[in-house]
Amino acid sequence: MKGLIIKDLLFIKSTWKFLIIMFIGSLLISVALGNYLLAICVLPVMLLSSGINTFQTDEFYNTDSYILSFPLSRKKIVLSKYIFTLIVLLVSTYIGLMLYFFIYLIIHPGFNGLNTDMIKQLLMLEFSAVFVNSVFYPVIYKFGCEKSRLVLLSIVMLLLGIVSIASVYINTQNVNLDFEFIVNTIQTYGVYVLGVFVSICLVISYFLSILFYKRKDY
Amino acid sequence: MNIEVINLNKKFKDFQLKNINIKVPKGKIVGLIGENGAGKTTLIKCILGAMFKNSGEVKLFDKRYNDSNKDDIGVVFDDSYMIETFTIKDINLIMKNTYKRWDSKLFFKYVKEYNLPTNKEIKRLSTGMKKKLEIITALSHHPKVLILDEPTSGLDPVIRSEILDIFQNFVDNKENSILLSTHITSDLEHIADDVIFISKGEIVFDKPLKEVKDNYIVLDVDKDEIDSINKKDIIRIKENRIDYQVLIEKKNMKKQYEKYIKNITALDDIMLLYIRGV
Repeated sequence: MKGLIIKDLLFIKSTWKFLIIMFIGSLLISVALGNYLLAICVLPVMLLSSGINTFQTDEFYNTDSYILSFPLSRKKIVLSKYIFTLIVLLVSTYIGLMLYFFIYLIIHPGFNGLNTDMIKQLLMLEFSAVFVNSVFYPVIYKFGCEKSRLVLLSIVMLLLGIVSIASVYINTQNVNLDFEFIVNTIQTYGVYVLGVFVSICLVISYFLSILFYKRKDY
Repeated sequence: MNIEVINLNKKFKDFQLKNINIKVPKGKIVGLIGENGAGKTTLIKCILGAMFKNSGEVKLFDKRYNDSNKDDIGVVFDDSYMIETFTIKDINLIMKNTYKRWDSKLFFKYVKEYNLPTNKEIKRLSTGMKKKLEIITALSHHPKVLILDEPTSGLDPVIRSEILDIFQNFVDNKENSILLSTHITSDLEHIADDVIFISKGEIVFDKPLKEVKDNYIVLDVDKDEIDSINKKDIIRIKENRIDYQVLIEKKNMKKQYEKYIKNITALDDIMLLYIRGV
């Protein structure tokens, strides 16, 4: 199992040039906008989204059927992907914090202390990326990378549809929403709620992935 | 017995493997031949657990198949399956964390022996180098069995010969064995002990290579002389533009057939007559 985690980490390593280019690009945009959230978050979020890329790479190089010749159960193969995701979550949080200190120490040498809102926003973005992974993984195990794009597009369209209907309902029914309260609540508790929600999603996603992968022919 | 497949069945919408029974004994190289789409790769994937069988049993080293005894199996597939942005050092790092008996020293000894560059990305290696890398990767955890699916396809004769030497050395200890699927039957004629011929998902024959070569004779008979061959003696016959190719058993050989004998009866001819003959 350790070998598979290393394989996926090595894959991320092999994309370092692309990651650096993305970071420099986002840093330039951040400097222009005067808001450094993008520069701080782009690398962590890109790292987390590479979990999905590892599936695509395995499929592209036919590595997925080769992996099944390894002395590992299918359950452990699935587990390796989830452990990899958690490792990347930890590493990307660390990188995000380092970038935060680095950027603010250079731009505001006098700055002393953490901007908790920024840290919360970083974590919320990361949790969102993990959530996307937890949706993607079982779908990929079930349908493969090619078909899963269509399935996920359908899910996104469905969610957009629900949001659109909800917003139309709110407008037509003149529902009075206290947006300031909502924003404040999200800023205060959002990261914790999202953290718990994503953890639950990840566990459900893991069991669904095992269920699908145990039945799949390669 | 290193590998034993008992009454294996695997159904797809348009194809099925039917009642496959094969044995790969210790110290032997068993060739699996058949046309493209005959079911060779499906059978190998069923043995490895990459595909689920509908019924039947796979035994490895006389034990029911399980994930832990895959430690004793080395695998090479037809298509390249190594992530091409990796280097040979990366492969070593992954494998030493995957196989209990991974031998880095042996791996790098092979790498040196076959002049493979350790720091180059795999995509920069030639086809022959990639195939050698796949084979030495399969060998470097001291497996007892190699399962090889078209390991020499797309390679030139010199590299093929080098690779066949590796396989022969592997079984020299009389404990190891190889299941080698190929449609390059000439490779098997040099190294295989037994040949399993599979066509349309069924085993046509499973015999020692010597017996196959000794028992069958291919005759090239002119069209106007075909009546001189007794129909009862014909196993398979294929009509060509100027003659007939006729497969008969050696025991049915008659004096009047001698003038039609081909110089060498190759496995290719036998396979072709079984597949395309009537």
